[in-house]
Amino acid sequence: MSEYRVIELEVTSTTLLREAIQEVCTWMGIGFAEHEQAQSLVGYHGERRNEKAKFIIDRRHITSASNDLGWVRDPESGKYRLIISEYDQRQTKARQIALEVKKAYVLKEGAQRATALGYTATPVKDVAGKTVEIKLRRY
Amino acid sequence: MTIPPHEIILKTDDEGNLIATVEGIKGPGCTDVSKWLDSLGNVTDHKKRTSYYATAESSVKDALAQGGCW
Repeated sequence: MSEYRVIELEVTSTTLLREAIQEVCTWMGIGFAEHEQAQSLVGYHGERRNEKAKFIIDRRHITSASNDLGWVRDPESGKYRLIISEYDQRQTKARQIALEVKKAYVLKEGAQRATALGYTATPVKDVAGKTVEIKLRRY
Repeated sequence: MTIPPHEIILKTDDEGNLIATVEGIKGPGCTDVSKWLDSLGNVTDHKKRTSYYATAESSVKDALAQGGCW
């Protein structure tokens, strides 16, 4: 072992974010929706909120008192932003979903960049199907 | 420049940051093969392990001591 880096990544790829949300939702056993045009998030009373998102995880997949969780792209920066209500920031499950999506995304981004450079990328998954690490090899 | 065989392990921390660990290369060549990682985002920590400072000679000695080739 010679060196390691800790890297903060921005979420910019729609394709990789879709794959990350899909992967997390699959191993967590929940659903999500992708919209061509950003749609309003729904609050815990069933009301439409001001925030809109392209990718939405329905509040009913989180807790009975949760609001929808969403990701929306900032048209200027091109970066995706997580929309999580103040209430859900204090909820373990909502925070876990958001964190797991971020983790899945950064692994996918790293693997994609590496394969473009000639590495072979082998994902290592746990029993639930969650990718816990990716081995990159170059010979 | 020929790139020596190596492995990079990608993991994540509890904040959703990417942790990349380079294995299989001793010495500063390690940094050369992993420079591309810097372009992924904002590097908040970059540490070199003991083997980074190993010389080619010490690498051979290490390998012989371990009974194999490195």
